[in-house]
Amino acid sequence: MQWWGIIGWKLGNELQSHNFFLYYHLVKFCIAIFLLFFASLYAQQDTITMDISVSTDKTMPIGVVNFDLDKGNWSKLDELPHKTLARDFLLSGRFTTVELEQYNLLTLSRAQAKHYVTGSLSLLGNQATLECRLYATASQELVKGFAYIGPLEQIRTSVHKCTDNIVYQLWGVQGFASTKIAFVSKIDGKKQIVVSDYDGFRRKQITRDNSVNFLPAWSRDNSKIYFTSMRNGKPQIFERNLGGSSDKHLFPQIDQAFGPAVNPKDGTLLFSIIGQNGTDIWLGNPQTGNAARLIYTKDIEVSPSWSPYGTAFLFSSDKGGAPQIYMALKDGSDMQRVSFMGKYNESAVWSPDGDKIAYCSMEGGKFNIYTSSIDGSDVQRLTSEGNNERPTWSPDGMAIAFSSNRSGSSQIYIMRRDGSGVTRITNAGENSSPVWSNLIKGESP
Amino acid sequence: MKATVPILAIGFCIGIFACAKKKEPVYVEPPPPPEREYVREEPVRQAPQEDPLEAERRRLEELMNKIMSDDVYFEFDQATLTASAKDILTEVGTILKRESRFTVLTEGHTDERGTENYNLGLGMRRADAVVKFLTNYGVASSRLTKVSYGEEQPKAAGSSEEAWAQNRRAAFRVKINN
Repeated sequence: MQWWGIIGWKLGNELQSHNFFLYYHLVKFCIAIFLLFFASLYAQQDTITMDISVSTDKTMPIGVVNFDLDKGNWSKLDELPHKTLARDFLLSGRFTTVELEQYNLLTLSRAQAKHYVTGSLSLLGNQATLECRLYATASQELVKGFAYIGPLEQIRTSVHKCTDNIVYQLWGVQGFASTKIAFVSKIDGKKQIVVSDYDGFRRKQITRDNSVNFLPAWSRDNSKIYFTSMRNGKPQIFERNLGGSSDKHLFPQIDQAFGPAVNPKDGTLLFSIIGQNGTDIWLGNPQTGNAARLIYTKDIEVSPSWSPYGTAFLFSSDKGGAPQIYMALKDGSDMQRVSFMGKYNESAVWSPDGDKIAYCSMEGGKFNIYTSSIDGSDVQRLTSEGNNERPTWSPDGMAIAFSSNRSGSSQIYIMRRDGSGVTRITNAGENSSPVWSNLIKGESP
Repeated sequence: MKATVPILAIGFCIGIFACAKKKEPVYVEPPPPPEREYVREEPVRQAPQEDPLEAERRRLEELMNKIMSDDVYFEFDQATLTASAKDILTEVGTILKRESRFTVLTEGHTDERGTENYNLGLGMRRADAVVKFLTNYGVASSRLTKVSYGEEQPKAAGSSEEAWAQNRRAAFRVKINN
């Protein structure tokens, strides 16, 4: 009651002094306090609201309780649903998981997991039913449930959808558990383009010729892969429609071209060409086949990467003696150097939020992954073990995939954007150059 | 008619030779087919006689193999020609000036270190350095083409300094133009 009294007194004072500007702000402040007070009351009752105190680089603890499995033969499943779910949470860069065989309030509370997920999987004929339920830890109240029915082979996809739904429920944003990655895999000693789920499962080989196929890039709608191939004895850019099996040679008017990057707004391609006077960056339209030079010096300019708005791009140039990262506007103007630390900085990629870049930097013959602000400040090294190359951002910017030879062979890894939670997603052979697919906006999880 | 038999025989031998050495294609153009004569005959298997054509073919092939085995090596992340590289290129240039029908594709290669993208640029810079030397030496630039393979076609496997040194190279492919 005294509180109200104070505000009332203050209001009176302000009115008396006829300072309407201050008065206006004071009223706004009072209303905000009032609303926050009731919002907090509401939040305690509603378990769905997300914890706004979780900063982007802190993770939200969540429990994953083993799913109930119907009696039946689950040997066709390459992984049990709660295992897939737990890894999805880890790879999302948003959660730390507490894996439990059954609900345990103490363990979940100790881990500060305010929510947990469990569910069931049952089989009726050829149809599998996956049920996935998000609960509040303390009350064991159901927050939201999801069910998917489909053939057993689709269960992995359904678990990813479930992850995306829970991310949406708890964070209010679209997750990437249903995205894919394209990468390069050595098959019978030849580099081939391969596409898989973002977690490395369900691989599909895209190219099959006997040459070298590398440097993949996704079209904006994920329906096509652009890549570089040496099948004609020189580097050239090709387009593969993922529904088909034939390739279209893009920009045949250019003798040697490689390393395309897709503009996220208009679909045009930046790429490198090898000309009479060095390696330059060109801009081309894959639909019309038109292309024109953009950055042309006697030096080497490679590895273009668009800003998320498609208005500027990063690339590497060795005009200072060794490759360093530069930025230019869409028309090639206003070229500015971005990286100043390190002697060899390459493969820069612009974060989806637009505020950061990830790149690799060579020291003593080994590459490591770094991030920095787009002006080159705030440099952070994210890896230290082995040789680490080719960073690619998850579509929401929470995670970075890259290739590393730390295990003895080149494999693909995903880590959180602060370098923690490193998880290997490929195991056999030699895999490199991951490129994350796009999140199609508005596609409901 | 008498001239046809050895010509066909030589053609046949070249055919066999080309098949046997599939890995390292030798771009020897077969001699032009005889005009007017359309009589087809089974080629007769016989030892090639000491024919001036055959001797010339052998001589050209030796020269081509010589050029194609003359890889030029580079220092790490460099495209400058070393003294020994210039010696090799002088030999190659001398042959090319004498044999005006030879055209040469120069391939630029790098070792596995560095990124794939940048190494494609670096490979071309090496091919450029070689081609520039040869044109300065007096070989017509119209006879010289170039390609970059970056780090994609190593000559030596492995991640040792020895392997890397073998892979940082420019290599030649020779064709005879008629």
